[in-house]
Amino acid sequence: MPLQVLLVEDSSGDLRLTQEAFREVNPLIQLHVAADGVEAMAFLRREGAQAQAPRPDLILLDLNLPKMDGRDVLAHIKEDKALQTIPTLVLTSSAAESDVVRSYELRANCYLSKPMQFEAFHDLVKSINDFWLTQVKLPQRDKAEPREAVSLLPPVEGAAGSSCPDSSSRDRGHLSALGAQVMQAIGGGGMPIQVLLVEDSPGDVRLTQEAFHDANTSICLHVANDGVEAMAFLRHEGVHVNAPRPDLILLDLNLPRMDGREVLAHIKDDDGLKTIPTVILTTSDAEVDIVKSYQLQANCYLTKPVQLDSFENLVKSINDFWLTKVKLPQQKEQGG
Amino acid sequence: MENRVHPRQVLLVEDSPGDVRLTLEAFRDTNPSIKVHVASDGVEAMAFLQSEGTTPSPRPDLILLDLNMPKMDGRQVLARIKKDDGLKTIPTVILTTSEAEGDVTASYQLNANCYLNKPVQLEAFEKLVRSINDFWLATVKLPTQQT
Repeated sequence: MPLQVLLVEDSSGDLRLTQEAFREVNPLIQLHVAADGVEAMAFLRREGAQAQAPRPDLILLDLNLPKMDGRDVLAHIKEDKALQTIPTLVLTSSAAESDVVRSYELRANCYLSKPMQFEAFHDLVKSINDFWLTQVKLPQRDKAEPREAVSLLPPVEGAAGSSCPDSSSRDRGHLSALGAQVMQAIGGGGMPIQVLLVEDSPGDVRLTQEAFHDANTSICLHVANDGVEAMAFLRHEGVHVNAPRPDLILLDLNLPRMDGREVLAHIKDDDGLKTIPTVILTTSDAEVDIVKSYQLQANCYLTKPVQLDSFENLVKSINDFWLTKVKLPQQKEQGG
Repeated sequence: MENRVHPRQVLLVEDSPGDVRLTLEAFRDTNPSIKVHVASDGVEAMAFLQSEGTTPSPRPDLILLDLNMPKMDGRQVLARIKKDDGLKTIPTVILTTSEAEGDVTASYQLNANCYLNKPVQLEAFEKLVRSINDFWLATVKLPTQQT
């Protein structure tokens, strides 16, 4: 997914300049525009016509806006638990010291004055790109997957267990301009990537296995059918004494014995496990589950799609993003 | 950008002497007019910020804060800065080797102004310091010094 930037700007001239500058500097960036504060908040909260709006990675906010001004928008963003971690850059023609101080008090991540000159404006946009969208480690992104329910898939026998590839190298794919900073080798040279899938539906297990096999044959996919088994795997208990530490966990929410929320809470409470990126992959599209998962520090929340093709695409996108681009935490030293 | 009389003051909170040296050298090469102050742990950082020493310390324009430090770690320092009405407007940049998502998220939740990973390579480290200078000390409008 390209980087998403929300520009909150009422001046059509500045809007045009910013769009042109971003297009030249980094055409991969997806720039969304809100012309006033009310529209910006609707976009951020996915209200009304903005139900499918993506979560921006960065917000560029003008101060003087119609309907709801930039100071109010900033206050709303930074008071909202779901939005407060999005870096918000004030970009305004106001050079009043009181606006500068007030913006930092309201927790703007930084304050930028709009230059008058065209070239200076272009340079400013370039420096925003070079710094914020290249150097800065942005907070975890979520994915605006279409919210769909999944149909029940035919059960498959013997879905639990592990499937490891023979090959010991991994195609990391090409690195995007953005990712060059953060995308380095995962866990060192020739180790296959270890993925733990926590899933009780045999049909979904089978689909996920097949989709991973098509997407990236060097992945070693382990399956736990319920939360208790997942925790035993992660803690090397019982038959899992030799289990590897996974690089990524795909976690269903509704599971027998111990459900996914509890598993997530255990993982994120455990100093040895909490850095493992944990992706919720569930049929639930209840807002309460989404919010709760992020509060429990799920790294992202994905809804299982109904359609077979969409499911395969989703697994492929998990591979392309999490296993190719994201800099995963280093493997801890492990005996076996 | 601005016609200010005083040089920019940066507080570097860092316990690794090697990283301190690298950062000082990189700033000297990039912009020798910047005054970099060093605190080697969280307690020393808070003492500097609260001007507790015998000679009053200047208010920094920018704080570069490591996360893992002795005595009081960077998360605690960050939480104190952002809860203090007198200090919270000072842009605080996390500069750490930690790439743990938990650290990234927690830092933004504690209102870090941004989160940067320390590169291992010397050249990348210098480039990062240059980009901090170019962005935070040359492009960004910082709040006025109150001293």
